Amino acid sequence: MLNTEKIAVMTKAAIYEEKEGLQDDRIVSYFETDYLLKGLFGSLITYTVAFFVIFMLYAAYHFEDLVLLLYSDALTPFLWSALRIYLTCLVPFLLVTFLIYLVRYHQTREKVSSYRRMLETLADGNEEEKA
Amino acid sequence: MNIAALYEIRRKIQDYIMKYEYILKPAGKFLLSLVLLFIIKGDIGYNAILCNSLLLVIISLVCALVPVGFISAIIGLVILGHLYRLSLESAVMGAVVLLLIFLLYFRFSPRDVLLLLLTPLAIKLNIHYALPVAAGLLCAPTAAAPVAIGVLVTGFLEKITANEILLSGGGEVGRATLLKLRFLIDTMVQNHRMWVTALVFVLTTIIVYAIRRLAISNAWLLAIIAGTLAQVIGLTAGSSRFGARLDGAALFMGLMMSLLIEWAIMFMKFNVDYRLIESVQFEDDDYYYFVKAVPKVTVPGEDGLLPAGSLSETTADLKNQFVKHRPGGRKHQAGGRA
Repeated sequence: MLNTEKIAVMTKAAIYEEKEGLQDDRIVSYFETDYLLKGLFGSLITYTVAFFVIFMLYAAYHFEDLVLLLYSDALTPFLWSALRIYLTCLVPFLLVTFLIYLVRYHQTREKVSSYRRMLETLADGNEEEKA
Repeated sequence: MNIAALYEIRRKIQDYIMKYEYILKPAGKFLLSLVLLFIIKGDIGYNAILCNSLLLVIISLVCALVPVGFISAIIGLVILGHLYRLSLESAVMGAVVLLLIFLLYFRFSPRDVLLLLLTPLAIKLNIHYALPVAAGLLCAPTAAAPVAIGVLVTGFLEKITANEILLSGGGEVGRATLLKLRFLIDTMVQNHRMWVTALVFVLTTIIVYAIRRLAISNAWLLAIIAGTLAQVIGLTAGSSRFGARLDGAALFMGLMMSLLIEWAIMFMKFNVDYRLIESVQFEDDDYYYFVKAVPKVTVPGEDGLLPAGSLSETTADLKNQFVKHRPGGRKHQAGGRA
């Protein structure tokens, strides 16, 4: 005799395990702060590389002007301007990263909790059957 | 054709997809890759090797077997191969664009990269106005990013094609290289039509998403209408602001076709969520189970069942969506969400 409710719960648990279980497990294995810091650090690296690439494009575009700048007093103010732009764009990018990772962590934690509740439901059901 | 006939067609499509899903998915990826590769060949087919039809078919067969994210990487490499044949400067600029996309977008493990691949195809068919609305209806607001990136990449390639004579030719790396790079950067930065379209698409996706999530009747229909209006207003305002020419007839035709597509999405999505068809197997002490789980998504009133949520909802809702039928014919709904 098939227990259809049990099959339904087992199916949902199996679907979750197969699709997202492994990835979600990796995420919740971090403390929330550590996961957020990991995301922010990664974003800092990728943003810095992207900024460097864009800076190289800018340098190629204004090549002659930059060569003249190297031999003038305006080099230091130019570098300070570049740093200001870097920091100005970095803040919103990190903010977006923070929000995405925060939402992702909380959603994942909910999913994992739901999965654990399904397992508890199955375990309770098994004990009832044995009894 | 009455509504009952449409429901019957919908049911037949659902049954067909259920039955042949294991063929349809790779076939779909194969066809999409093949079409994109031939579009690239037609627009920027500078590399004779990468224009070989047999090679394109082989690449498409490979794309059929890999995840969608890898397909975008393969397409990117093919584009770079063509641009390198045109000139080093074009290849460098193309590599920079693709690198920036990788660093700033793929960083967040995107799940909607299919939209990025569909954008060039949609632009060719003049139905690209459907993409931001579809993204808002079916995905999260972050799906605005791949649509915008698709517009930017397509715009970049259009400018390459339009200026291929100027950009072609090799020679020593020197002043000519800098001039070509400067020209390419100028065409990207000053392509106001491209930037306006990308911005309008992002805003459209966000507006559509916000409206369709509202707990009001006909939220999806209102979202589609709002999205379409946002595109008309945004594109018209943007074009007049920057003095860009806007082809009214093409815009009208494109929006009409896009509305048809969006209506079709609304009609099908409420009843079939193909992405959630799952096959799993497991065992307990008594049985082996081979289960195919098909989400039953219906409008309220059909058999007393409630619509299942979208893929983006948490599985905390899974239990709530499981409608329990108690003995005696009374139906108990363990929470739920219309």
